[in-house]
Amino acid sequence: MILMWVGIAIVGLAAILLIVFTVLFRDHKGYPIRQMPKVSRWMRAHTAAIERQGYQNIFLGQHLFCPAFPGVGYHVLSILPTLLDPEIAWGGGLRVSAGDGSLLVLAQEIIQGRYQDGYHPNLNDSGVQVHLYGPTPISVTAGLLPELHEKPYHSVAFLGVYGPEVLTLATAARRLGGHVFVAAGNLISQATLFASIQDQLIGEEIFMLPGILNPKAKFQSAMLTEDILRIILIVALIVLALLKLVNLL
Amino acid sequence: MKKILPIIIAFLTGITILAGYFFQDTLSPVLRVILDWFVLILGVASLIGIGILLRLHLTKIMSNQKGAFYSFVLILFFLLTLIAGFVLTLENDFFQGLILTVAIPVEASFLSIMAATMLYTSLRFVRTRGWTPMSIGFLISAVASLIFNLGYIQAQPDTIGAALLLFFRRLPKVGARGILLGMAIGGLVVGLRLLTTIERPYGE
Repeated sequence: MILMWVGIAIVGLAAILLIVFTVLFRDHKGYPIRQMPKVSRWMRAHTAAIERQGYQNIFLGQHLFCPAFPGVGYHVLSILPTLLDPEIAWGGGLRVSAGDGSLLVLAQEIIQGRYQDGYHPNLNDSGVQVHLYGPTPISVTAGLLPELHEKPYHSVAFLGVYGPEVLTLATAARRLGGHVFVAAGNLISQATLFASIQDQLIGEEIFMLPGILNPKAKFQSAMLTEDILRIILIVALIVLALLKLVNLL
Repeated sequence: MKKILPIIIAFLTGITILAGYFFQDTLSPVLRVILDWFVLILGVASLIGIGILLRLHLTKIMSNQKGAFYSFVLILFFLLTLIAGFVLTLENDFFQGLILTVAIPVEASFLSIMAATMLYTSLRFVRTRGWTPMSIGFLISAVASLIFNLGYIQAQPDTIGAALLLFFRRLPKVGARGILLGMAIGGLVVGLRLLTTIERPYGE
């Protein structure tokens, strides 16, 4: 019963903070966004790919919904609009791919919505393509690996939920000269890729990505809320550990 | 109305699901209905995704692109599996055996490739990351964790050695728990951003 009310209190506090900060930051008095060299390098590779007419691939993950990490699939979709530049059609093109049909269908909806908002309609078909390599991890590997060799990508980003098989793909993409960026949302893929990929976001860093790419009020308020919750959690853990140490708990 | 309706539906669904975590007994019938809808929509979306995949390979075959033969093989075996699945059903022993005979060797060979890749990247780890405090810490903890979890090092119960051994064995779990806590906070804020309709990817 106590745990239930603690949960409600944390969720309630987070919601209140989020709403208050969003309202406060509307007047452009934002929260300073931290710089992440890993993300900056990815963005430089993204821009360079457009300028040099190189191919890019943004892989959205294997699952839209993962019971152990709920929200990661949806979070990846919220990053997608910030990466859809109008100039993409002038470059080599962008492929938005996934290993889950539902993820791909939602991505296609977002892409169409984004380009209908004011870009030339032709940019949608010519610049950004959606692609499903297969519905299972092995079929995705079998589909993407030969493609990486046939048409080396200038920049490949792995976002979302993966299994350890992502190591084979990420290593191959990097070996063929492409810039590889990883913001994988589960522990297995983060641990597997840590040794091989330099530009990788770990843990809560993946949830900061939209705010770094697009410092709008809604993302700045989310970052500040996360920071406050993190501090509260750290303080609570230390206090509870101390109380347990002196046998008061 | 076209813009407000999805917001209202998203908000009401989200708040019901969230409340369902805390008040399971009261809201379980409603949750079951919502989850059934979710599974149904997800299933249909997955089917559309497979449709996209098939269209892509059919286009490859029609326009005789490079790799058209592989696309043909893919469609052929997709149709064979689909028909066999419908005719024999998933419970059929022959069908299960057929699938497993293909799946297990493929998965085993794939895992062996992955193990070799992992070994190769581990050996190149310092070259990728350089000699940084992070890379040195990772190397030491990885090697220590491997040694301590092999089970060769044992200590007498109720001694300092046993406590230290337990501490080192638990260390990776502590790290994983820390990462998970950070991700849980991130996930909570993403969920609330959608729930409070501050973010609306479906309406952008």
